[in-house]
Amino acid sequence: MKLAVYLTAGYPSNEVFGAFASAACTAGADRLEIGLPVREPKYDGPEIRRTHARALENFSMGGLASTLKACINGGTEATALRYMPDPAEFGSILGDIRESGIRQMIIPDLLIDHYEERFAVIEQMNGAGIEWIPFYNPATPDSVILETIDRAGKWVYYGLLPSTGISVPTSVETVYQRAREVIGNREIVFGFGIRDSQQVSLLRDLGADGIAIGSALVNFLQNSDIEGFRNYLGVLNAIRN
Amino acid sequence: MMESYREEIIPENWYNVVPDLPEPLPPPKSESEDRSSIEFLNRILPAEVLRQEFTFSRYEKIPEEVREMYRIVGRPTPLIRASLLEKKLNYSGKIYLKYEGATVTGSHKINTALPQAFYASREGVDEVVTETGAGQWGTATALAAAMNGISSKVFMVRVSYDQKPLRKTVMNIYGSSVVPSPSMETEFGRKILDHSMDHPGSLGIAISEAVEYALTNNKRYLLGSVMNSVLTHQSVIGQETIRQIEIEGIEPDVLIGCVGGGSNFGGFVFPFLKRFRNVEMIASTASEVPKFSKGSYKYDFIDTAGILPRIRMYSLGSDFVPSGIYAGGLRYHGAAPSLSLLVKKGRIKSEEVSEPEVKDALRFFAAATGIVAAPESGHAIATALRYVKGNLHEKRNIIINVSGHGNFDLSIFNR
Ligand SMILES: Cc1ncc(COP(=O)(O)O)c(C=O)c1O
Repeated sequence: MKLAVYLTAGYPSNEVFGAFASAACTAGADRLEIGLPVREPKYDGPEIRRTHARALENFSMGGLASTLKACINGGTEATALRYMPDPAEFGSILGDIRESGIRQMIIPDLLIDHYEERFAVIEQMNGAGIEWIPFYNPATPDSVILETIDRAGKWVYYGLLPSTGISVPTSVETVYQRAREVIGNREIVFGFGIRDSQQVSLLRDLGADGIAIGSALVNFLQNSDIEGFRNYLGVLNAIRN
Repeated sequence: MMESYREEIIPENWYNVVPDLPEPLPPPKSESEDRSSIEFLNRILPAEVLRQEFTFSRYEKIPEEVREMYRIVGRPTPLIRASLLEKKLNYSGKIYLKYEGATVTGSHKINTALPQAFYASREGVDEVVTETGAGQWGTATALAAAMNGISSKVFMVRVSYDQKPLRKTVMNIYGSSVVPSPSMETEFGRKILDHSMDHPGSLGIAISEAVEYALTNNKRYLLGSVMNSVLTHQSVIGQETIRQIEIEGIEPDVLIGCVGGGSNFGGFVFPFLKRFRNVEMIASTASEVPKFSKGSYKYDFIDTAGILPRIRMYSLGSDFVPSGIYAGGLRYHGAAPSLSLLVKKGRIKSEEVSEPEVKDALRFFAAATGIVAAPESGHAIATALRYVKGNLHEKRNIIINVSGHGNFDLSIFNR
C-alpha cells in the first residue's frame, strides 16, 4: 500500500517545509502532495486551515523546483493540490506547477463548486502538461465518477470524510466498497481523517492502494520535530508494507 | 394474514439519494481554525446518526427493532384513492393520498424520531432533547423516547406552548418534560429572559436551548429535518408508496408535497427518482417563507445560533424572521441540501401558496376526504388543487403526500 504525504508548501517556513519534504521522500513516501496555500481552504479542517494562513505569508512558487528536485529524481511522485484559482490566474499557476517538476494536480473543489466547468478545466490542465487527479468522496454520486474517471491521471484521491483532520464516525468498509465498485481497478488513495494505525491496517486489509496523511503531521511541522516525523512515518511503513 | 401483508410493505432498508444525485452534494463547512463544528456534532448527536450522515450508503438497513416500532405506530401508512375529490373537481385522472397523518403521533416526524431515539438509547444515553414549534416534532420525539425506554425533554416555543396546551398534554402523557422556551434551564434562555420576561420565543432560540442542554448534561439532541440522515429515514414514505402503487397497478405521473426543512418531501419523492425518470415533482412552500424563489443557494447555518455547521442550501438567511403564519412547520429558513440541489437543477419544481388559499383548500379537501389535514400539508393540497384545475382533462395520476393531520391546529379556522 502506497503512502502519500501531504504538506502545505511554505509551512511553517520554506526551510522547514523543504526539510520535511526531503525527509518524507527518504523515509519512503511514494507520493508527495503539495498543498499550494490559499486564503480560503474551504474543505479543510482546523489544522490544515492554520497551515494555509501561515504559509501564505512565506510561500512563493519560485523555490519549489529546487526543493522537490531530489525527491522527484529519487522516484517520489509529486502532486499539487490547489483550490480552484481565478480563471485569470489559472494559466500561470499551471505553468508554475509544471516548472516545479510536478505533473499532477488535484483541485478539491472542482466537482463541487465548479461542476459546470469541469471538462474545460481538465482540458486546460492536460493542455499544460498536467494530469488531472480527481478528488472524490462519499457524497460524489456514482454517475459523476463514471462520467469523469476516463479523464483521470494515474490515480484517484478519495476523501473518507467531509473535511480533513476531523473525527466523525463513518463506515470505512462501506465507503471503500462503494468506491471500489464504481472506480474499478484504478489506484485509489484514501485520505481525510486518517490518524491511527487501526484505520491504516483496516484500509490495507480492505485492499486500498494507498493512504494519504496530512493533518496528523501538522504538529511535527509546527514544532520542527523532524525526528518525530520520521518515527511516525516509520510506524506507518511497518503497517503498510 | 392482514398484518403480514401490511408488514411486507414496510421497507427493509432506508434509501439515501446522495449516490444517485446528478451532481456532488457540497459538504458541510466549518470556517474556524480552532475547532471544527462538524467534529463538534460528536457531542450533540447520536453516533449512529452521524455515521449515517457521513457514510452516504445508498441503502441503510432498518434495524428489526425499528421496523417493529414502525408497525406499532401505524406503518405502512395508507395510500388512499380520493375518488370523491376527483369527482368534486371533475378531474379525468386519479388522485391518491399518502396519508402520514395516520401515524399515532399524527405526522411523518415519527419516522425519524424512532430510529434516532433507538440509536441514542443503544448508545447508553438516558435522555434525548429537542425543540418544537407547532408540536409535531416534539410529540414524535416524546413517543420515540418512551418506546425506547429513555426520557425526553422538549423546549417548546412559548407562543405555541400557550396557544396549544393540548400538544403539551400529549407530550406529557408520553412522559416527556415540556419546557416553554426561552426558559430558566439554560444560560441562553436566562439571558433572554433577563432582557424580556415575556419573550414569545422562536424556533432558533428553542434549538439553541436544546443544544446547550444536550451539551452541558451530556444528553443527545434529535434533529427533526434538514439533515441528510433525516431525509434518509423518511424514505420509508416513498418506498411504501411505490409498493402500494404496484399493488394498485398504476404508474405515477405527479408527486406533490410540502416543504419546511424538506424531510417529508424528500422522503416521499427521492425513492421515485431513479425508477420513474419522467415523474413530475412539485414542492409546495409558503408564500410567506419563499425560500426557493427569494432565497439564494448558498452556504448558511442550520440553526439561528450558528452552533451547527454551515450547509449549502436554498436559504432566506439563518436570521430570517417569518411572519407569524399558522403553518409553523414551514417557517424554517432553508431546505435540505439534496432537495435544494434538485430544485436548482430543475428536476423538482416549486410553488408557493399563501394562507387564505391554504385554508380554503383544507376545507374543500376535508369535505371530500374526511381528513382535516395539517396546515403544512394544506400547502401540498392547495398546490394539487391548482394543478388539477389547470389540467382537468389530463388523465394523470397525482399522488399527494399528506404529511400530517391538523387536529391540534383547528384554531386557524376561527381566525
Ligand atoms: C405535518 C408537518 N408537515 C410538514 C412539516 C415540515 O417539515 P419537513 O419539510 O421537514 O417535512 C412539518 C414540520 O413541523 C409538519 O409538522
